[in-house]
Amino acid sequence: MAFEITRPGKSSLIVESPVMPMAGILGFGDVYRDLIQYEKLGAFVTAPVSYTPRSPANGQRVVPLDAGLLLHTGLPNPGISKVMGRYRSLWNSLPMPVILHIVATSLEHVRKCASRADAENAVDALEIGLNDDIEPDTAEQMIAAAVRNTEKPVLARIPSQNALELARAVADAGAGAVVACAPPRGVARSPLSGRLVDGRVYGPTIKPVALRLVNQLSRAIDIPIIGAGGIHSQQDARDFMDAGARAVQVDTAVWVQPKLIEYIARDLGGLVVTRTVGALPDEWHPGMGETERKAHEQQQSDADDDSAQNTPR
Amino acid sequence: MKEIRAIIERITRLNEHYQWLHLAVDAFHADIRAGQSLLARRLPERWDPYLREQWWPVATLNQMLIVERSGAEVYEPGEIVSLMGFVGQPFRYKRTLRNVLLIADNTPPSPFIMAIQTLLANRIAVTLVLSGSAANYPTAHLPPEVEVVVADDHLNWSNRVMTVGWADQVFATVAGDDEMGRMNAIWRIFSESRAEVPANYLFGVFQPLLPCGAGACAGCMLPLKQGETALVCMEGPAIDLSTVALPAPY
Repeated sequence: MAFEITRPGKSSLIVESPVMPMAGILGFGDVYRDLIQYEKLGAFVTAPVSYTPRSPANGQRVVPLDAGLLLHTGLPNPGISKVMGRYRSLWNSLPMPVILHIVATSLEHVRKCASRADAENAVDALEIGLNDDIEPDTAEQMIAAAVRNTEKPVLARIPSQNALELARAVADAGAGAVVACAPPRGVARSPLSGRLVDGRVYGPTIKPVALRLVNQLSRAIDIPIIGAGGIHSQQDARDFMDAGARAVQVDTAVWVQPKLIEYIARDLGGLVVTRTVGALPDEWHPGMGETERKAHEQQQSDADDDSAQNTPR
Repeated sequence: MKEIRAIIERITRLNEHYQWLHLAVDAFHADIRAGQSLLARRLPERWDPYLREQWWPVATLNQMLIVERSGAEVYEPGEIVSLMGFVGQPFRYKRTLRNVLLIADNTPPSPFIMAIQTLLANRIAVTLVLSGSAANYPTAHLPPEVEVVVADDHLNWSNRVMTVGWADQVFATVAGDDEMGRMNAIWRIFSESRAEVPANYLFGVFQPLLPCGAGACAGCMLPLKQGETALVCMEGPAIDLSTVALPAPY
């Protein structure tokens, strides 16, 4: 069942499933092809791409956390031209729309990346990754620059700080959807080097924060929201949909259990097809049968009570 | 890459620091070659610990895979683990290889144990240098043909110049606290001991933490000379140190 995950218009992104990987989780589309049925995913979000090449960060880049990890990569990539040259044919062969994730390094670079991507048939939409300290005015300018230079839908991935104002700003600028939110930044001590490492934090503990944010945004803006952050089960993904997300992005859970994203996609795919309009949340959970069984047991119990009361002593 | 479930059939303790797990695996995973590793996760699924662990195979036998693990970890026979692999490329040897030098600096030589069997079977002489904490590694289980040399914490050992000159190819693995810095120290030893360090001679066997093991996360990306990069999980673990942009010494 196809549905729109960006605002309606002449350029709208239509997907078959509301589940996709977060930027960078499946690299440039050549990762875990033997483990995941890509056909089940709604879209493919590429690894972050910048206008000019970026080198990997120095020193320790991975810090294991309790139930999660901190990752600091420096967003290394060879620049949009080389990326397009290397992956164009692969993206053309993917069975779902491709969303090019662009690192919003500067207004000029966003503009150039958008026009470069606009000419590519292999790219179906753009996701602009806004940095953590960005002001709403700058975010609005960045998204407006991208929107002006491409006919393709533009998604804005916003950080969790100041999310409400940023979401309003990017919606005003013409973003087709908001991806909420980018993994938060943190600092942790590497057990290997003993040094403090600054990076993005991933793991199931992020989910409550992201979920609250999605719920707030869904009431504050009228463009679709793609929920992201700490999704580690089918139930987590459903929680985001309940909170008002139109689709979800799954992050590092895929590295730990690659099949999980496919299971979530299968589960939410079923949800989209089978959920009744106006149904209560627990009516479409897999535990629905359980609910029915309990209701049946309760009815039986009530009936038994009634019959016991009616039995003459 | 494939993901399978394997059963720990037997556990052999080498000493208090190291143990071998005998895993029943499918035919595909029994085809693993020296240099390649697996990303393992213990079952039932929990999110803590989060990352998969890198497990180095030391031998394969009739759909049985033996991996080396720290003796501090507690495993039970019958336990089921999830394995993803293979990660990385097999070690590449020179055709004219006669003498190989393996160096483990403050880390166990686990990535080399499987290679030793292959090398000896091909009549190649093997010298294993254990430096720093690697000297705790038990060597009684190694074939007697392997020359084991214990070096100090600064990678000094007797006849070092002779050993370096004699080796046709060198593989070195180092502790993860400052992997690039330690690789740089190895590079300096060889560049000081030889007129030149040719290409395909001195390989660093890198063991960074591997969140994805498939080239997506860039957590294991190495900077190479001329602005290029290499992914340890895809092109490694053995990377020619003459191509790596090693940091300047402190």
